[in-house]
Amino acid sequence: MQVALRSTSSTRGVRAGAVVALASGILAVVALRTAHAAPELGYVAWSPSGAAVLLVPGLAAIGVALESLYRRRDDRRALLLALAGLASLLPELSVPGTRPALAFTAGLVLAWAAPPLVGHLALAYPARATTPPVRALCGAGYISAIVLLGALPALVFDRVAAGCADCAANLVLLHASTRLEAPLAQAGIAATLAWATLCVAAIALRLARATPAGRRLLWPVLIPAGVFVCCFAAELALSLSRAYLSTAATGRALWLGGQAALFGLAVGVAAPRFRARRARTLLARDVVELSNRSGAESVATRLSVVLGDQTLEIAYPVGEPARFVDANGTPVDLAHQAGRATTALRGLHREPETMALVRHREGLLDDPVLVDEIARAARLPLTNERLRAEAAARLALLQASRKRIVAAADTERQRVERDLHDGAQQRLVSLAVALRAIRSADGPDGRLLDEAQQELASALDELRLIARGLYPAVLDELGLPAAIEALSETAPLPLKVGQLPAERFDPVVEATAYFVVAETVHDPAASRVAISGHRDGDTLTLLISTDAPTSDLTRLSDRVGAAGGTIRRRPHADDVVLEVEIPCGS
Amino acid sequence: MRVVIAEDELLLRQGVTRLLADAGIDVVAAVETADALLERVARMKPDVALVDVRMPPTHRDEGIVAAREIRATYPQTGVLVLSHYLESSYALRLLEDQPERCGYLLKERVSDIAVLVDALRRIADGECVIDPTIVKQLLHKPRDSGPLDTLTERERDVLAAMAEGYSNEAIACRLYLAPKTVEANIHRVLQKLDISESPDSNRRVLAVLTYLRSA
Repeated sequence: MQVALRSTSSTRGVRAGAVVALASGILAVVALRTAHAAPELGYVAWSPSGAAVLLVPGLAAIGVALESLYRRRDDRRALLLALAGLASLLPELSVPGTRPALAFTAGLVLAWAAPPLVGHLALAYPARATTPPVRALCGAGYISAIVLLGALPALVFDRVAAGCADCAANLVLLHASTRLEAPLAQAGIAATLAWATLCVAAIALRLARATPAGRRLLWPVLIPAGVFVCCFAAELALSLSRAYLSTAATGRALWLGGQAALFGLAVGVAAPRFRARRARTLLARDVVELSNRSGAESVATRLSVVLGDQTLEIAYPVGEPARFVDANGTPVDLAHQAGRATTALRGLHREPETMALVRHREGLLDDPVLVDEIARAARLPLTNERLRAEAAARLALLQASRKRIVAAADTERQRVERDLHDGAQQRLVSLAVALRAIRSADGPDGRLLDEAQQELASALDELRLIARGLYPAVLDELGLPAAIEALSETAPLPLKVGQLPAERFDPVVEATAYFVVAETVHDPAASRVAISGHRDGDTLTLLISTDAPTSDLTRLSDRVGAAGGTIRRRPHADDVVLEVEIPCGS
Repeated sequence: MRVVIAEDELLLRQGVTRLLADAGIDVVAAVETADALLERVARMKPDVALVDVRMPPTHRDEGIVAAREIRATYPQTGVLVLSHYLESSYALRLLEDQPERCGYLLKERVSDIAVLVDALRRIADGECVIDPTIVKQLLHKPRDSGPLDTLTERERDVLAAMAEGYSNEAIACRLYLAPKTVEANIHRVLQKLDISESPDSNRRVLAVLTYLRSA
């Protein structure tokens, strides 16, 4: 569905482009002919430079717009620019000497269509949802400049009465009236002047309110557009008393200013494309670099250099429903922060889903063209990094669940240990006390009771051993050194306890360390074990020296691995040393 | 002798109260929480408090914490802690500040009323009491050969008795020895193990236990 829509809009863009190109060709020829036929009446003299001044700004604007339309970007903004370019040729048609009559009439009605188009473009640039006041202002521009200033006076304009017998026929003449024409034209000028003033103010306000980054993006378009409307407004102000727009010296100078501003506008609209191309070239180079150096800097690092934003982050969608993680698979917080914005980088039209989110300084990626270029150039490394991030995120989930399983098992053992003490053992002790009470009441002959009490005592001893093997309470209550110390008192072999960190760690870390030592101590192949440990930053390292070199490490590796740690075995004199590293960062 | 009992298990509390009463000991109060225990001790100033290690609310080491507080605040009240744990670190933690009038017994000793009453009396007399099973475990802990191996059978018995908290006279009594012989034995044992001699038998307990744990 989305693809179909896109292709329709694309066809429409190309079709509009073709119409604009055709129209600009016709208009250029007609305008040149006018300039040739009546050089003293039009805005320019008949010379190569005159022709250039007349045609270059409009054609430049049309060219930039056509390029945009061809690339199927910002259709509306491109169309506005193209129409403004076309309209810039029309004033030349409103002078005597223009043929045919259709061209002259078009000149009469639409001579001043360019300013509202330029104003509209400036207020809607680059791709902005317009607010009702802005829409009203744009509408007012079209009504005042085309209807009030162009069309209404044209309805009553009579070439003979106006003293221009040489002019082509006015095809929209309704009722020739010089009496009506002047006040109508004056009202049109006044209304359009009012609109132009408001429009310049709105443009200035937009620039003033923009963020510094946004201003950098806006000024190349808004300043020329503002100058263009300003020139027009000045011309209107000068014409207010005489009720017609003149091609005399002052008017001509202002028109020249407008042409220059239009050319500036075309350049300003095209500028981001060059900027984007530069960024794309840099990125493309980086793509090659990245593929040459696997495991090199992340795309985020490269992008932050290319775009000049140190705080730039990239988040990749993984899983279903999507969570967002960075290149290492660590979850990224996407909550809104002041001064930060998030932009989606999307795939090509065949796969339009979000490839990545870029978190950046506000205003940095306001330009959709730049965003498109980045997505285009960095598609391969982005996809590559997203796949790696996905794998890393999955691994992290797996690791977390492994740790949770072990922690749950530990908690369960601890619970059973407590249940044994607080339940079964407590009952047995109560029973022993009760037996004793019965015995004292029973008199001297209590042989059977004595035996029962013996049984109870051994049951209690056994129970204590079982409970302790499940989970030593001293580990939970006093920590690792005390638990290892206690282990050395019950171990079947000499356990030498060296220096151990006295601080408390996460229960999983402590339990892992304890059970690894307990397992080594209860290895039947061992006859002596020594243990020491230290904390080094975020790692708890245990050095377990044992004389059982052939032991299978699978169980120990599983246990340590679940806590995210590693275990290594290396020979040391007659013994082997197990070097156990457990991450203990909080 | 006036005793306060703190034990959260109802049956056991009643049983022990009855057995002690039968043995002629005056149980002035039997409570089930550490807070209640501290309140009774403050009010009744008993000779000894008999305290269970695990009590509400967390069932962890409330008993030991309360015992240390009692020893620090009421020098005339002794504490006997009953525990399920055969752990020397718990015993040492209890004793390390104030070894006199302190005791650590395994819980099942309550069924042997003679042992319990004897421990209570020794604590009331200012001695310190360590469960013999803990001492036995420490003595038989697997270790590389060292000074302990040079002790004679008699000297090991004396060492065990010292670790359990007995005074010189009590040791003489238990091992059927003359006081002079006991003193000579003690002197030799401490010299062999390189433990500095202290006139205070309670401090001696700490030193001996620490030695046995680390050796």
